[in-house]
Amino acid sequence: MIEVEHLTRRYGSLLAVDDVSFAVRKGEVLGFLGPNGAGKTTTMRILCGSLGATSGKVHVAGHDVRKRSRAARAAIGYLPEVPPLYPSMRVRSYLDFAARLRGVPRRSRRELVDKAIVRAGLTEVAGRLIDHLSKGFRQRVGVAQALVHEPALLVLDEPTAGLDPAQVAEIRNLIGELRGEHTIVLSSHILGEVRATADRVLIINDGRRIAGPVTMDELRGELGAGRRIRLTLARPADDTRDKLMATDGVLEVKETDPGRFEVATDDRDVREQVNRIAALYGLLESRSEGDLEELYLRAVRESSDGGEETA
Amino acid sequence: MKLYHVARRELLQYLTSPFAWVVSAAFLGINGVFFAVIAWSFIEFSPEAILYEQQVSVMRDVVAPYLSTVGLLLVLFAPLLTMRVLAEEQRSASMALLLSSPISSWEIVVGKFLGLVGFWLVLFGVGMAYVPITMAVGSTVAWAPLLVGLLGVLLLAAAASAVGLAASSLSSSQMLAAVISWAVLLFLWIVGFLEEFQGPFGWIGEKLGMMVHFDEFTRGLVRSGDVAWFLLLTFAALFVAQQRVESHRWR
Repeated sequence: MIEVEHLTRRYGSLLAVDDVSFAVRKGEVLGFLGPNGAGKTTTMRILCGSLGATSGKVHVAGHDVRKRSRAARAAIGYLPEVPPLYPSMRVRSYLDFAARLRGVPRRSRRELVDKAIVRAGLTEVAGRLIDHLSKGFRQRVGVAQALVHEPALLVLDEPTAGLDPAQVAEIRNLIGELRGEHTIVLSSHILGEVRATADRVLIINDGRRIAGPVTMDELRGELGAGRRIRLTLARPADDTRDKLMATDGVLEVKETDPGRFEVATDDRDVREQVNRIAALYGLLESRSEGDLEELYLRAVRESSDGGEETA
Repeated sequence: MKLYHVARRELLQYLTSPFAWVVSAAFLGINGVFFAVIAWSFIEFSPEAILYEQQVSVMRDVVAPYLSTVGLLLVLFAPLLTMRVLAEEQRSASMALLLSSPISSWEIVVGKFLGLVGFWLVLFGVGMAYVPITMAVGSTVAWAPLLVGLLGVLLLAAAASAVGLAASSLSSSQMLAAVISWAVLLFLWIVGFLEEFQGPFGWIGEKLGMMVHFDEFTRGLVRSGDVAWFLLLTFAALFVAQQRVESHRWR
Protein backbone atom coordinates (compact mmCIF):
# COMPACT_ATOMS: atom_id res chain seq x y z
CA MET A 1 0.00 0.00 0.00
CA ILE A 2 2.89 2.32 0.82
CA GLU A 3 6.43 2.05 -0.44
CA VAL A 4 8.97 4.51 0.85
CA GLU A 5 12.47 4.40 -0.62
CA HIS A 6 15.37 6.44 0.68
CA LEU A 7 13.15 9.24 1.84
CA THR A 8 15.02 12.36 2.94
CA ARG A 9 13.64 15.69 4.00
CA ARG A 10 15.61 18.77 5.05
CA TYR A 11 14.35 21.97 6.62
CA GLY A 12 17.21 24.26 5.71
CA SER A 13 20.24 22.70 7.39
CA LEU A 14 18.14 20.51 9.67
CA LEU A 15 17.84 16.91 8.55
CA ALA A 16 14.35 15.88 9.66
CA VAL A 17 14.15 12.57 7.81
CA ASP A 18 17.32 10.81 6.78
CA ASP A 19 17.25 8.06 4.17
CA VAL A 20 14.27 6.16 5.53
CA SER A 21 12.87 3.17 3.64
CA PHE A 22 9.97 0.95 4.56
CA ALA A 23 6.82 -0.61 3.16
CA VAL A 24 3.32 -0.91 4.52
CA ARG A 25 1.19 -3.89 3.52
CA LYS A 26 -2.40 -3.66 2.52
CA GLY A 27 -4.76 -4.02 5.47
CA GLU A 28 -2.22 -3.78 8.26
CA VAL A 29 -1.90 -1.27 11.05
CA LEU A 30 1.59 0.18 11.22
CA GLY A 31 2.73 2.20 14.21
CA PHE A 32 5.40 4.89 13.93
CA LEU A 33 7.19 5.01 17.21
CA GLY A 34 9.74 7.61 18.22
CA PRO A 35 10.29 10.49 20.58
CA ASN A 36 9.01 13.96 19.78
CA GLY A 37 10.99 15.49 16.95
CA ALA A 38 12.00 12.10 15.54
CA GLY A 39 10.56 12.82 12.10
CA LYS A 40 7.24 11.02 12.45
CA THR A 41 5.09 13.99 11.54
CA THR A 42 7.35 14.99 8.65
CA THR A 43 7.17 11.47 7.22
CA MET A 44 3.39 11.39 7.57
CA ARG A 45 2.96 14.79 5.95
CA ILE A 46 5.04 13.59 3.00
CA LEU A 47 2.86 10.47 2.68
CA CYS A 48 -0.20 12.70 2.56
CA GLY A 49 1.17 15.13 0.02
CA SER A 50 0.99 18.13 2.32
CA LEU A 51 4.78 18.31 2.31
CA GLY A 52 7.29 17.60 -0.43
CA ALA A 53 10.29 15.31 0.00
CA THR A 54 13.83 16.55 -0.51
CA SER A 55 14.72 13.26 -2.13
CA GLY A 56 13.56 9.69 -2.27
CA LYS A 57 10.52 7.94 -3.67
CA VAL A 58 7.15 7.53 -2.04
CA HIS A 59 4.36 5.46 -3.58
CA VAL A 60 0.91 5.43 -2.06
CA ALA A 61 -1.68 2.99 -3.43
CA GLY A 62 0.54 2.60 -6.48
CA HIS A 63 0.80 6.33 -7.18
CA ASP A 64 4.01 8.31 -6.97
CA VAL A 65 3.17 11.12 -4.52
CA ARG A 66 5.30 13.54 -6.48
CA LYS A 67 4.20 12.78 -10.02
CA ARG A 68 0.64 11.66 -9.36
CA SER A 69 0.06 13.63 -6.22
CA ARG A 70 -3.66 14.08 -6.74
CA ALA A 71 -4.41 10.40 -7.23
CA ALA A 72 -2.25 9.54 -4.23
CA ARG A 73 -3.98 12.11 -2.05
CA ALA A 74 -7.39 10.83 -3.10
CA ALA A 75 -6.51 7.44 -1.60
CA ILE A 76 -5.60 8.89 1.80
CA GLY A 77 -7.42 10.16 4.83
CA TYR A 78 -5.14 12.24 7.01
CA LEU A 79 -5.53 13.30 10.62
CA PRO A 80 -2.72 15.74 11.46
CA GLU A 81 -1.39 16.24 14.98
CA VAL A 82 -3.80 19.14 15.43
CA PRO A 83 -7.12 18.25 13.78
CA PRO A 84 -7.70 20.55 10.77
CA LEU A 85 -11.05 21.94 11.88
CA TYR A 86 -13.02 25.09 11.08
CA PRO A 87 -14.29 26.23 14.49
CA SER A 88 -17.10 28.28 12.99
CA MET A 89 -18.64 25.32 11.15
CA ARG A 90 -21.09 22.76 12.42
CA VAL A 91 -19.88 19.17 12.60
CA ARG A 92 -22.13 17.90 9.81
CA SER A 93 -21.43 20.69 7.36
CA TYR A 94 -17.71 20.45 8.11
CA LEU A 95 -17.73 16.73 7.28
CA ASP A 96 -19.80 17.47 4.20
CA PHE A 97 -17.12 19.95 3.09
CA ALA A 98 -14.37 17.39 3.75
CA ALA A 99 -16.29 14.86 1.64
CA ARG A 100 -16.65 17.38 -1.19
CA LEU A 101 -12.95 18.19 -1.11
CA ARG A 102 -12.10 14.51 -1.31
CA GLY A 103 -14.29 14.12 -4.35
CA VAL A 104 -17.19 12.13 -2.93
CA PRO A 105 -19.94 12.28 -5.57
CA ARG A 106 -23.12 14.10 -4.62
CA ARG A 107 -25.37 11.04 -4.49
CA SER A 108 -23.33 9.20 -1.88
CA ARG A 109 -22.22 12.25 0.09
CA ARG A 110 -25.02 12.32 2.62
CA GLU A 111 -24.78 8.61 3.25
CA LEU A 112 -21.02 8.70 3.79
CA VAL A 113 -21.20 11.74 6.06
CA ASP A 114 -23.86 10.00 8.16
CA LYS A 115 -21.74 6.88 8.28
CA ALA A 116 -18.66 8.81 9.44
CA ILE A 117 -20.73 10.56 12.11
CA VAL A 118 -21.97 7.23 13.48
CA ARG A 119 -18.57 5.56 13.30
CA ALA A 120 -16.76 8.36 15.09
CA GLY A 121 -19.51 8.54 17.71
CA LEU A 122 -20.57 12.06 16.82
CA THR A 123 -24.32 11.53 16.54
CA GLU A 124 -25.17 13.66 19.57
CA VAL A 125 -23.00 16.61 18.46
CA ALA A 126 -23.60 16.50 14.68
CA GLY A 127 -25.46 19.82 14.75
CA ARG A 128 -23.12 21.64 17.11
CA LEU A 129 -20.48 24.23 16.29
CA ILE A 130 -17.01 22.68 16.33
CA ASP A 131 -15.87 25.64 18.45
CA HIS A 132 -18.12 24.43 21.27
CA LEU A 133 -16.85 20.85 21.34
CA SER A 134 -14.56 19.30 23.94
CA LYS A 135 -11.09 18.16 22.98
CA GLY A 136 -12.19 14.54 22.83
CA PHE A 137 -15.00 15.32 20.41
CA ARG A 138 -12.77 17.52 18.30
CA GLN A 139 -10.33 14.65 17.97
CA ARG A 140 -13.20 12.42 16.86
CA VAL A 141 -14.31 14.99 14.30
CA GLY A 142 -10.71 14.89 13.10
CA VAL A 143 -10.90 11.12 12.71
CA ALA A 144 -14.28 11.43 10.98
CA GLN A 145 -12.94 13.86 8.36
CA ALA A 146 -10.09 11.45 7.66
CA LEU A 147 -12.39 8.51 6.95
CA VAL A 148 -15.44 10.25 5.45
CA HIS A 149 -14.45 9.38 1.86
CA GLU A 150 -13.61 5.80 2.85
CA PRO A 151 -9.97 5.98 1.77
CA ALA A 152 -7.89 2.86 1.34
CA LEU A 153 -5.29 4.37 3.64
CA LEU A 154 -5.70 6.22 6.93
CA VAL A 155 -2.79 8.25 8.29
CA LEU A 156 -3.32 9.27 11.91
CA ASP A 157 -0.72 11.46 13.57
CA GLU A 158 -0.74 10.92 17.35
CA PRO A 159 -4.46 10.15 17.40
CA THR A 160 -4.62 9.82 21.19
CA ALA A 161 -2.23 12.56 22.29
CA GLY A 162 -3.64 14.80 24.98
CA LEU A 163 -6.82 12.80 25.57
CA ASP A 164 -7.98 11.45 28.90
CA PRO A 165 -7.82 7.67 29.46
CA ALA A 166 -11.48 7.09 28.60
CA GLN A 167 -11.13 9.03 25.35
CA VAL A 168 -7.90 7.16 24.56
CA ALA A 169 -9.80 3.90 24.96
CA GLU A 170 -12.56 5.17 22.64
CA ILE A 171 -10.12 6.16 19.92
CA ARG A 172 -8.35 2.81 20.28
CA ASN A 173 -11.65 1.01 19.90
CA LEU A 174 -12.42 3.06 16.83
CA ILE A 175 -9.08 2.17 15.30
CA GLY A 176 -9.82 -1.44 16.14
CA GLU A 177 -13.10 -1.21 14.22
CA LEU A 178 -11.41 0.38 11.22
CA ARG A 179 -8.75 -2.30 11.11
CA GLY A 180 -9.11 -4.56 8.12
CA GLU A 181 -11.23 -2.15 6.10
CA HIS A 182 -8.46 0.38 5.88
CA THR A 183 -4.70 0.24 5.91
CA ILE A 184 -3.72 2.40 8.86
CA VAL A 185 -0.53 4.23 9.69
CA LEU A 186 -0.48 5.86 13.10
CA SER A 187 2.18 7.48 15.19
CA SER A 188 2.91 7.77 18.87
CA HIS A 189 5.79 8.46 21.18
CA ILE A 190 4.47 5.86 23.62
CA LEU A 191 5.36 2.24 23.09
CA GLY A 192 2.28 0.98 24.92
CA GLU A 193 0.09 2.96 22.58
CA VAL A 194 1.60 1.37 19.50
CA ARG A 195 1.55 -2.05 21.12
CA ALA A 196 -2.16 -1.69 21.82
CA THR A 197 -3.16 -0.68 18.31
CA ALA A 198 -0.58 -1.68 15.72
CA ASP A 199 0.26 -4.96 13.98
CA ARG A 200 3.77 -3.85 13.24
CA VAL A 201 5.99 -1.11 14.49
CA LEU A 202 8.57 1.16 12.88
CA ILE A 203 10.88 2.98 15.26
CA ILE A 204 12.50 6.19 14.12
CA ASN A 205 14.69 8.65 15.93
CA ASP A 206 16.55 11.72 14.72
CA GLY A 207 15.09 11.12 11.28
CA ARG A 208 16.57 7.63 10.95
CA ARG A 209 14.95 4.24 10.98
CA ILE A 210 16.09 2.33 14.06
CA ALA A 211 13.99 -0.78 13.78
CA GLY A 212 11.14 -2.27 11.81
CA PRO A 213 8.64 -2.48 10.48
CA VAL A 214 8.39 -5.62 12.58
CA THR A 215 5.84 -7.21 14.85
CA MET A 216 6.14 -6.59 18.55
CA ASP A 217 7.56 -10.07 19.09
CA GLU A 218 10.18 -9.56 16.43
CA LEU A 219 11.06 -6.15 17.80
CA ARG A 220 12.95 -7.57 20.75
CA GLY A 221 15.28 -9.40 18.46
CA GLU A 222 15.69 -6.48 16.10
CA LEU A 223 16.64 -4.11 18.89
CA GLY A 224 19.54 -6.41 19.46
CA ALA A 225 18.50 -7.01 22.75
CA GLY A 226 19.49 -9.62 25.08
CA ARG A 227 18.34 -9.13 28.55
CA ARG A 228 20.19 -8.02 31.57
CA ILE A 229 19.71 -9.26 35.10
CA ARG A 230 21.01 -7.28 38.04
CA LEU A 231 21.68 -9.28 41.18
CA THR A 232 22.50 -8.20 44.70
CA LEU A 233 24.00 -11.03 46.75
CA ALA A 234 24.60 -11.21 50.49
CA ARG A 235 27.44 -13.77 50.33
CA PRO A 236 29.22 -13.66 47.00
CA ALA A 237 32.00 -16.20 46.69
CA ASP A 238 34.97 -16.61 44.39
CA ASP A 239 33.15 -19.07 42.17
CA THR A 240 29.92 -17.05 41.88
CA ARG A 241 30.93 -15.53 38.61
CA ASP A 242 31.99 -18.84 37.08
CA LYS A 243 28.82 -20.55 38.21
CA LEU A 244 26.70 -17.88 36.64
CA MET A 245 28.73 -17.97 33.45
CA ALA A 246 28.23 -21.71 33.20
CA THR A 247 24.48 -21.24 32.82
CA ASP A 248 23.28 -21.84 29.29
CA GLY A 249 22.24 -18.52 27.72
CA VAL A 250 24.41 -16.27 29.86
CA LEU A 251 26.83 -14.24 27.79
CA GLU A 252 28.67 -12.14 30.31
CA VAL A 253 28.85 -11.56 34.05
CA LYS A 254 30.27 -8.40 35.56
CA GLU A 255 30.74 -7.60 39.23
CA THR A 256 29.97 -3.91 39.27
CA ASP A 257 30.33 -3.47 43.05
CA PRO A 258 31.12 -5.99 45.74
CA GLY A 259 28.05 -8.20 45.89
CA ARG A 260 26.41 -6.63 42.85
CA PHE A 261 26.42 -8.51 39.57
CA GLU A 262 25.22 -7.67 36.14
CA VAL A 263 24.35 -10.71 34.06
CA ALA A 264 23.93 -10.29 30.32
CA THR A 265 21.94 -13.00 28.57
CA ASP A 266 20.84 -13.73 25.05
CA ASP A 267 17.26 -13.73 23.80
CA ARG A 268 16.21 -16.66 25.91
CA ASP A 269 14.55 -16.10 29.22
CA VAL A 270 16.95 -17.61 31.79
CA ARG A 271 15.85 -15.63 34.83
CA GLU A 272 14.77 -18.76 36.65
CA GLN A 273 18.10 -20.57 36.23
CA VAL A 274 20.13 -17.48 37.13
CA ASN A 275 18.06 -16.78 40.21
CA ARG A 276 18.38 -20.42 41.34
CA ILE A 277 22.16 -20.12 41.31
CA ALA A 278 22.06 -16.69 42.90
CA ALA A 279 19.97 -18.10 45.73
CA LEU A 280 22.97 -20.23 46.74
CA TYR A 281 24.88 -17.00 47.49
CA GLY A 282 22.24 -15.23 49.53
CA LEU A 283 20.08 -13.54 46.90
CA LEU A 284 18.82 -10.20 48.20
CA GLU A 285 17.49 -8.69 45.03
CA SER A 286 17.10 -9.67 41.41
CA ARG A 287 15.97 -7.21 38.82
CA SER A 288 15.68 -8.11 35.17
CA GLU A 289 15.85 -5.49 32.50
CA GLY A 290 15.12 -6.01 28.88
CA ASP A 291 11.54 -5.09 29.07
CA LEU A 292 10.49 -3.78 25.65
CA GLU A 293 10.00 -0.27 26.96
CA GLU A 294 13.55 -0.19 28.29
CA LEU A 295 14.95 -1.66 25.10
CA TYR A 296 13.15 1.01 23.15
CA LEU A 297 14.45 3.80 25.35
CA ARG A 298 17.95 2.42 25.18
CA ALA A 299 17.81 2.15 21.40
CA VAL A 300 16.61 5.73 21.17
CA ARG A 301 19.27 6.97 23.56
CA GLU A 302 22.04 5.13 21.74
CA SER A 303 20.95 6.37 18.32
CA SER A 304 20.72 9.94 19.63
CA ASP A 305 24.29 9.75 20.93
CA GLY A 306 25.41 8.51 17.55
CA GLY A 307 23.48 11.31 15.91
CA GLU A 308 25.28 13.97 17.89
CA GLU A 309 28.64 12.67 16.84
CA THR A 310 27.85 12.88 13.16
CA ALA A 311 26.06 16.22 13.39
CA MET B 1 -16.00 21.19 -9.39
CA LYS B 2 -13.58 21.39 -6.45
CA LEU B 3 -13.43 25.12 -7.14
CA TYR B 4 -17.13 25.34 -6.47
CA HIS B 5 -16.83 23.51 -3.14
CA VAL B 6 -14.08 25.79 -1.87
CA ALA B 7 -15.93 28.90 -3.07
CA ARG B 8 -19.18 27.70 -1.51
CA ARG B 9 -17.61 27.11 1.89
CA GLU B 10 -15.91 30.48 1.77
CA LEU B 11 -19.14 32.27 0.88
CA LEU B 12 -21.06 30.44 3.62
CA GLN B 13 -18.32 31.33 6.08
CA TYR B 14 -18.80 35.03 5.29
CA LEU B 15 -22.57 34.83 5.31
CA THR B 16 -22.52 33.30 8.80
CA SER B 17 -19.72 35.40 10.26
CA PRO B 18 -20.82 38.21 12.62
CA PHE B 19 -17.55 40.02 11.95
CA ALA B 20 -18.20 40.08 8.20
CA TRP B 21 -21.69 41.47 8.80
CA VAL B 22 -20.44 44.21 11.10
CA VAL B 23 -17.83 45.25 8.53
CA SER B 24 -20.41 45.09 5.74
CA ALA B 25 -22.91 47.12 7.72
CA ALA B 26 -20.33 49.84 8.36
CA PHE B 27 -19.33 49.81 4.69
CA LEU B 28 -22.91 50.01 3.43
CA GLY B 29 -23.93 52.53 6.11
CA ILE B 30 -21.20 54.98 5.19
CA ASN B 31 -21.96 54.48 1.51
CA GLY B 32 -25.60 55.24 2.21
CA VAL B 33 -24.75 58.46 4.04
CA PHE B 34 -22.62 59.60 1.12
CA PHE B 35 -25.36 58.76 -1.34
CA ALA B 36 -27.91 60.70 0.69
CA VAL B 37 -25.64 63.73 0.94
CA ILE B 38 -24.82 63.68 -2.77
CA ALA B 39 -28.45 63.17 -3.77
CA TRP B 40 -29.71 65.93 -1.45
CA SER B 41 -27.24 68.47 -2.66
CA PHE B 42 -28.21 67.60 -6.23
CA ILE B 43 -31.88 68.16 -5.38
CA GLU B 44 -31.01 71.44 -3.64
CA PHE B 45 -28.80 72.88 -6.29
CA SER B 46 -30.06 71.53 -9.59
CA PRO B 47 -33.05 73.98 -9.88
CA GLU B 48 -30.60 76.81 -9.36
CA ALA B 49 -28.21 75.40 -11.93
CA ILE B 50 -31.01 75.03 -14.42
CA LEU B 51 -32.00 78.61 -13.71
CA TYR B 52 -28.53 79.71 -14.79
CA GLU B 53 -28.85 77.44 -17.85
CA GLN B 54 -26.16 75.05 -16.71
CA GLN B 55 -26.44 71.40 -17.68
CA VAL B 56 -27.36 68.98 -14.94
CA SER B 57 -27.03 65.21 -15.14
CA VAL B 58 -27.93 62.60 -12.56
CA MET B 59 -25.21 60.42 -13.97
CA ARG B 60 -22.49 63.05 -13.75
CA ASP B 61 -23.58 64.83 -10.59
CA VAL B 62 -24.86 61.94 -8.48
CA VAL B 63 -23.81 58.52 -9.73
CA ALA B 64 -20.23 59.35 -10.66
CA PRO B 65 -19.26 61.01 -7.36
CA TYR B 66 -21.14 58.34 -5.44
CA LEU B 67 -19.35 55.48 -7.22
CA SER B 68 -16.00 57.20 -6.64
CA THR B 69 -16.78 57.22 -2.94
CA VAL B 70 -17.81 53.55 -3.08
CA GLY B 71 -14.44 52.79 -4.65
CA LEU B 72 -12.45 54.51 -1.92
CA LEU B 73 -14.55 52.94 0.85
CA LEU B 74 -14.10 49.57 -0.79
CA VAL B 75 -10.34 49.99 -0.70
CA LEU B 76 -10.62 50.88 2.99
CA PHE B 77 -12.99 48.07 4.00
CA ALA B 78 -11.94 45.16 1.76
CA PRO B 79 -8.79 44.33 3.79
CA LEU B 80 -10.94 43.81 6.88
CA LEU B 81 -12.96 41.21 5.02
CA THR B 82 -10.07 39.48 3.27
CA MET B 83 -7.47 39.43 6.05
CA ARG B 84 -8.64 36.11 7.49
CA VAL B 85 -9.06 34.26 4.21
CA LEU B 86 -5.72 32.37 4.27
CA ALA B 87 -4.07 33.68 7.45
CA GLU B 88 -6.73 31.99 9.58
CA GLU B 89 -6.19 28.67 7.83
CA GLN B 90 -2.48 28.96 8.41
CA ARG B 91 -2.90 29.79 12.08
CA SER B 92 -5.42 27.08 12.91
CA ALA B 93 -4.32 23.80 11.42
CA SER B 94 -7.09 23.69 8.82
CA MET B 95 -4.66 24.36 5.97
CA ALA B 96 -3.66 20.70 6.31
CA LEU B 97 -7.16 19.64 5.23
CA LEU B 98 -6.83 21.56 1.98
CA LEU B 99 -3.23 20.55 1.34
CA SER B 100 -3.86 16.85 1.90
CA SER B 101 -7.01 16.78 -0.24
CA PRO B 102 -6.87 15.96 -3.94
CA ILE B 103 -7.07 19.61 -4.92
CA SER B 104 -4.47 21.94 -6.42
CA SER B 105 -3.20 25.17 -4.92
CA TRP B 106 -4.82 27.03 -7.81
CA GLU B 107 -8.17 25.51 -6.90
CA ILE B 108 -7.70 26.58 -3.27
CA VAL B 109 -6.79 30.16 -4.18
CA VAL B 110 -9.27 30.69 -7.01
CA GLY B 111 -12.03 28.98 -5.02
CA LYS B 112 -11.50 31.33 -2.12
CA PHE B 113 -11.33 34.27 -4.51
CA LEU B 114 -14.66 33.33 -6.09
CA GLY B 115 -16.19 32.97 -2.63
CA LEU B 116 -15.09 36.52 -1.82
CA VAL B 117 -16.42 37.87 -5.11
CA GLY B 118 -19.69 36.05 -4.38
CA PHE B 119 -19.91 37.83 -1.05
CA TRP B 120 -19.34 41.21 -2.71
CA LEU B 121 -22.13 40.41 -5.17
CA VAL B 122 -24.49 39.65 -2.30
CA LEU B 123 -23.40 42.83 -0.56
CA PHE B 124 -23.90 45.05 -3.60
CA GLY B 125 -27.07 43.29 -4.67
CA VAL B 126 -28.75 43.59 -1.29
CA GLY B 127 -27.09 46.67 0.11
CA MET B 128 -27.04 49.01 -2.86
CA ALA B 129 -30.30 48.28 -4.57
CA TYR B 130 -31.45 51.69 -3.32
CA VAL B 131 -29.34 53.43 -5.96
CA PRO B 132 -31.34 52.52 -9.09
CA ILE B 133 -34.59 52.58 -7.06
CA THR B 134 -33.99 56.15 -5.90
CA MET B 135 -33.01 57.17 -9.38
CA ALA B 136 -36.12 55.62 -10.85
CA VAL B 137 -38.14 57.96 -8.64
CA GLY B 138 -38.46 61.20 -10.58
CA SER B 139 -36.17 60.34 -13.47
CA THR B 140 -35.60 57.56 -15.95
CA VAL B 141 -32.68 55.35 -15.11
CA ALA B 142 -29.92 55.35 -17.68
CA TRP B 143 -29.07 51.70 -17.30
CA ALA B 144 -26.02 51.49 -19.53
CA PRO B 145 -23.77 53.94 -17.66
CA LEU B 146 -25.03 52.61 -14.33
CA LEU B 147 -24.14 49.04 -15.28
CA VAL B 148 -20.74 50.20 -16.48
CA GLY B 149 -20.21 51.86 -13.11
CA LEU B 150 -21.21 48.64 -11.41
CA LEU B 151 -18.79 46.70 -13.59
CA GLY B 152 -16.06 49.05 -12.39
CA VAL B 153 -17.02 48.49 -8.76
CA LEU B 154 -16.99 44.72 -9.31
CA LEU B 155 -13.58 44.81 -11.00
CA LEU B 156 -12.28 46.92 -8.14
CA ALA B 157 -13.77 44.55 -5.56
CA ALA B 158 -12.22 41.58 -7.38
CA ALA B 159 -8.79 43.23 -7.50
CA ALA B 160 -8.99 44.27 -3.84
CA SER B 161 -10.01 40.71 -2.90
CA ALA B 162 -7.11 39.24 -4.84
CA VAL B 163 -4.66 41.64 -3.20
CA GLY B 164 -6.20 40.74 0.17
CA LEU B 165 -5.76 37.04 -0.60
CA ALA B 166 -2.12 37.56 -1.48
CA ALA B 167 -1.53 39.60 1.69
CA SER B 168 -3.33 36.97 3.75
CA SER B 169 -1.18 34.23 2.26
CA LEU B 170 2.01 35.89 3.47
CA SER B 171 1.68 35.10 7.15
CA SER B 172 -0.59 33.61 9.76
CA SER B 173 -1.28 37.04 11.24
CA GLN B 174 -4.58 38.58 10.17
CA MET B 175 -3.47 41.98 11.41
CA LEU B 176 -0.38 41.86 9.25
CA ALA B 177 -2.49 40.75 6.28
CA ALA B 178 -4.83 43.73 6.73
CA VAL B 179 -1.94 46.19 7.02
CA ILE B 180 -0.25 44.81 3.93
CA SER B 181 -3.36 44.96 1.79
CA TRP B 182 -4.12 48.49 2.99
CA ALA B 183 -0.58 49.54 2.15
CA VAL B 184 -0.79 48.08 -1.36
CA LEU B 185 -4.32 49.25 -2.15
CA LEU B 186 -3.95 52.75 -0.71
CA PHE B 187 -0.62 53.20 -2.46
CA LEU B 188 -2.20 52.22 -5.77
CA TRP B 189 -5.14 54.52 -5.05
CA ILE B 190 -3.17 57.55 -3.95
CA VAL B 191 -0.49 57.28 -6.63
CA GLY B 192 -3.27 58.27 -9.02
CA PHE B 193 -3.08 61.86 -7.71
CA LEU B 194 0.26 62.17 -9.53
CA GLU B 195 -1.79 62.22 -12.71
CA GLU B 196 -2.12 65.99 -12.32
CA PHE B 197 1.62 66.46 -12.80
CA GLN B 198 3.55 66.78 -16.03
CA GLY B 199 6.36 64.47 -17.10
CA PRO B 200 7.30 61.06 -15.72
CA PHE B 201 5.38 61.46 -12.44
CA GLY B 202 2.22 62.23 -14.29
CA TRP B 203 2.81 59.21 -16.47
CA ILE B 204 3.29 56.97 -13.41
CA GLY B 205 0.15 58.37 -11.83
CA GLU B 206 -1.87 57.79 -14.96
CA LYS B 207 -0.64 54.25 -15.54
CA LEU B 208 -0.39 52.99 -11.98
CA GLY B 209 -3.21 54.87 -10.30
CA MET B 210 -6.11 52.62 -9.39
CA MET B 211 -8.35 55.66 -8.96
CA VAL B 212 -7.55 56.86 -12.49
CA HIS B 213 -8.64 53.58 -14.06
CA PHE B 214 -11.63 53.25 -11.76
CA ASP B 215 -12.98 56.76 -12.41
CA GLU B 216 -13.45 56.02 -16.11
CA PHE B 217 -16.04 53.40 -15.17
CA THR B 218 -17.87 55.80 -12.85
CA ARG B 219 -18.24 58.15 -15.81
CA GLY B 220 -19.84 55.35 -17.77
CA LEU B 221 -16.82 54.63 -19.95
CA VAL B 222 -15.50 51.12 -20.59
CA ARG B 223 -11.99 51.21 -21.95
CA SER B 224 -10.20 47.94 -22.61
CA GLY B 225 -7.06 49.35 -20.99
CA ASP B 226 -8.87 49.96 -17.71
CA VAL B 227 -10.46 46.51 -17.72
CA ALA B 228 -7.08 44.97 -18.50
CA TRP B 229 -5.47 46.94 -15.67
CA PHE B 230 -7.82 45.48 -13.07
CA LEU B 231 -7.62 41.96 -14.50
CA LEU B 232 -3.85 42.12 -14.54
CA LEU B 233 -3.69 43.23 -10.91
CA THR B 234 -6.14 40.47 -9.97
CA PHE B 235 -4.19 37.74 -11.75
CA ALA B 236 -0.86 38.95 -10.40
CA ALA B 237 -2.16 38.94 -6.83
CA LEU B 238 -3.77 35.51 -7.25
CA PHE B 239 -0.49 34.21 -8.60
CA VAL B 240 1.35 35.42 -5.49
CA ALA B 241 -1.23 33.73 -3.28
CA GLN B 242 -1.01 30.47 -5.26
CA GLN B 243 2.77 30.45 -5.00
CA ARG B 244 2.54 30.97 -1.25
CA VAL B 245 0.03 28.16 -0.82
CA GLU B 246 2.14 25.83 -2.95
CA SER B 247 5.22 26.78 -0.93
CA HIS B 248 3.64 25.21 2.15
CA ARG B 249 4.75 21.93 0.68
CA TRP B 250 8.33 23.14 0.56
CA ARG B 251 8.79 24.88 3.86
